[in-house]
Order: sequence, then C-alpha cells, then structure tokens
Amino acid sequence: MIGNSVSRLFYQLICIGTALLGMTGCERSEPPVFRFNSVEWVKQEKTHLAEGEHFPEDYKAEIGTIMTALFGTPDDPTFPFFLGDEDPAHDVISIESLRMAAGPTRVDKRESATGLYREHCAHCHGITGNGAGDTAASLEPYPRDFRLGKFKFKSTPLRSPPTDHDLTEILVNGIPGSAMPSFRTLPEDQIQSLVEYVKYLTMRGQFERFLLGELAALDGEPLIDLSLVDKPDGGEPSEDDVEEFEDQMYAVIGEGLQERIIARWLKPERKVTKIEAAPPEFDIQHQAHRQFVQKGRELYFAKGNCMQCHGDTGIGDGQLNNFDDWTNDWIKSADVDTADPTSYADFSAVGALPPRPVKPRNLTHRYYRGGDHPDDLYLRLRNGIEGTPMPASTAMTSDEIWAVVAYVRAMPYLDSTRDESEKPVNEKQVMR
Amino acid sequence: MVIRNSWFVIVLIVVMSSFVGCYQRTVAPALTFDQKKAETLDSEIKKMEWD
Repeated sequence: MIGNSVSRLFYQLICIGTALLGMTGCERSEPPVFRFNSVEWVKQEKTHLAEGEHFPEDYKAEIGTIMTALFGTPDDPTFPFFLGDEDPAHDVISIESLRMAAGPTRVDKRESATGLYREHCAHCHGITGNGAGDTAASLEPYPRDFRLGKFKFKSTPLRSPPTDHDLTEILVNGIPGSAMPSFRTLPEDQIQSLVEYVKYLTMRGQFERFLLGELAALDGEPLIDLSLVDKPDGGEPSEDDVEEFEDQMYAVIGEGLQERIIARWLKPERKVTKIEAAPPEFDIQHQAHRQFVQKGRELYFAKGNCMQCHGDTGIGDGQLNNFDDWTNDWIKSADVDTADPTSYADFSAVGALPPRPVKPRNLTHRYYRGGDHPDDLYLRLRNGIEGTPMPASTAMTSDEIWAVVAYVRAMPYLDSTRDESEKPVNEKQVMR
Repeated sequence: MVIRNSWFVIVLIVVMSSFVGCYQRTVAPALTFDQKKAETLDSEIKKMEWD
C-alpha cells in the first residue's frame, strides 16, 4: 500500500518535472530581440508590388542595421541625440530612464531597478512594443501596438502625441474595462522610466514604419549605402561619394526621424486642450440641472450624432462594424474581408492578430476607459479618441459639450436609457 | 491509470506550452542586423553635422 503511494508520488513528480521542462524548453538562451515589423512589410508589398512580387530580403537586414545603430537593442537601448548635450530630445527621453526600464528583470529592484518593462509590460505589449506579447491574442481589446504612434486617452488633440502626464495617468490608473492594470504601487521614478520607454518604443516603431514606407521608391537601391564611405578595400572615399552618402543620411535619418518623428514629440504640453469651466447648471444640485441634462440628450441625438455609434439607449449598439486604426492600417491595404480568414492569411502568417470590430462604449455601465472625471469625458468629446471612429466634436461649444457630459453621466440612472431587464423587479416599490 | 492520465497531461502541457512559447519566435522573425555595420553607421551618424 505504502509502496503504491510512493510510486504514485514518484510518477506525479516526474510528470510535473517533465511538464516544467516542456514549458521552459522553447526558451532560447540568447537575449530577447526586437521583432521586425513583418506586417508592415507585407502591407507595403501588397500596396506597391504586383501579386507574387516581393521586396529584396536584403532590406530586412539593412533596416535592422539602421535601427540598431540608432536605437540599440532591448538589453542595451540607446537614442539618437543628434545635437549632443544640447539636443532638445533630452527632454523627451533620458538614457538613464531607458536603462531602468530595459534589460532583464533584476531581483534587487528596490536598490537599482532594471527590466521594468519586461517585468510589467512585455507579456502583453511585447518586447518590441508591437502589442503582440504572449498573452495578446487572448485579450479584448488587444494590447496597444505602440509602433503606430497613436494613443487614445490624452489631453492633446488628434495627431498630437500624448504628454508625459497623460501616459503617467494611464500607468497609475490603468484602463477600466481592459486588461491594462494600475501600477499605482510603483515608485514615481519607475513610472517615469516606463513612460519614457513607451515613448522610445513608439518613436522606434514609427521610424521602422517610415523606413518600410520608403522601400517601394528605392528600386532595389540601399536606403543608406555605407559602402560609399566604408570602402571594402579600406580606401578613402571620393568627395562625390561623401556628398551622396550625406544626402542619403539627411533624407533618411534627418527628415525621416529627426523632423517627422522626434520633433513632433518635443513639448507636447504646448498642445494640451484647454478645458473650459463647466456652467453652473452642470452641478447636480443646481435647480436647472435637469433641463441641462435634457439639453445634453437633444445634442446626443442631433448635433452630436452620438447615437449613430452608441445607440439610442447608449448601450453601444449603434455601429458594430467599424475597426480601429491599428487594424484598418493593414486590412484596408489589401481589401481584406474580415469575415474570411483566408483573405488575410499572408498577414496572419507574419503575426497579425485576427481583426476584431471596435465596440462603441456602453455608456450605461458607469465606467469609461479614459477616466470617469468630468474633465476626462470633456476631453474625449472635444478631442475624440485617436485611432478609433470617435470623432472630435469641433462643431460644439464648450457649454454644449458639458451638456452632453451631463447627459452621459446621468445615463446609467435614466429610465429612457435602461433596458427593462436591467431594472430591479421591485424598483417601483423602492422608488416609492 | 494514473500513469496513463499523467502522460496525457504531459503531452497536453508540452504541446500547449510549446505553442505559446514558440509562437512569437516563429511567426514574427527577429530583427536581423550586422553589428559591424551598425557600429560603422553609428560612428558616421556621430560624425555628421545635424542642425
């Protein structure tokens, strides 16, 4: 009897040990690497080349070399400060912050933390910030792919990058209704390092997309021909070669990275949308508050056209066939039929996650992904939500926006916006 | 019976974990680069005059 139990325990231990070996067997000993943006590569091929044609594979290595020279690797990140110590990009990114967030996770994190991104973020957002970490496919919504350079919840207008404060708020508060948790317990310097690392991955991803967008026009020529100045025979380059090389550097790195990407990230605080003060009737205690909510309701259905997506009752059932920009970015390039997986098999083969329609918010649930403070709702209405079908309400006055905010905040409690099945059966008795 | 069930669990876990662990590595290729060229390009970038 005892022998039987021992052998059973023995076999169970072997089972557990083998299972653990199986789980760790696929891990490679080499350090993690940034992933090539193959989805963008396939998109560019489908956009610019004939069916069956492909870009030369050499471009992948060339892009990798340029990216590594400028941004380093996940274990040893760097950033191109073109103007040395005077470069204004020092206000955007600091190497110390990058080193704190990058690299392998260190156990003595209280003393000298490193690897914060890999510890807290990479399993969803991926080492590369491509939104394709190991858990991504099972999450709804998918984790953010930073490489597109778009952020939903921010205080700046569409097409402007978020401020550090915006990103900090997301890290500290999380995003209700998504898998993004709150990191409120992390010290301030660690939050700041993660904010800067997210900006680093974003700019890096934006630049990689820029390089891939240039390939079609190159006609097989290199992006930057290093052999012009680094002669294989060790000889001195001619003046023409140096000039040609410098032209390529200015076109690719100067215009592509410095002017188009990094310059946009300088001082986004300048673009922060001013939140106009709410009128007195916004206060729930004000005697005209009920009329103010009614005004918001009228705007919801007429000028604001909110019901088109959020539905008559605000449960988010108005428009269910829209996709966000992260998905539209590639499905529109190849006439993808989102209902037919074979039509996007080429993208799936290189890691694109299956397209899922973006769901308008159910406004009767009392939680809002970008924050539930009235100011947050005001900004969502005034600026829209970047990367989604939610537009900026440029035609509405600030008082009108506040009226819609008042109506949206009242929605969970209004009979007209509640489904019969959601009401408690004894509501009438309770109300009495 | 215990052994048979355990083997089933082992196979299931190994297959699933291999899928999870290898997925990213197979469908999303690593960024390949030439270290020597990257260092040369880095030094050329530093030599340039940017404004």
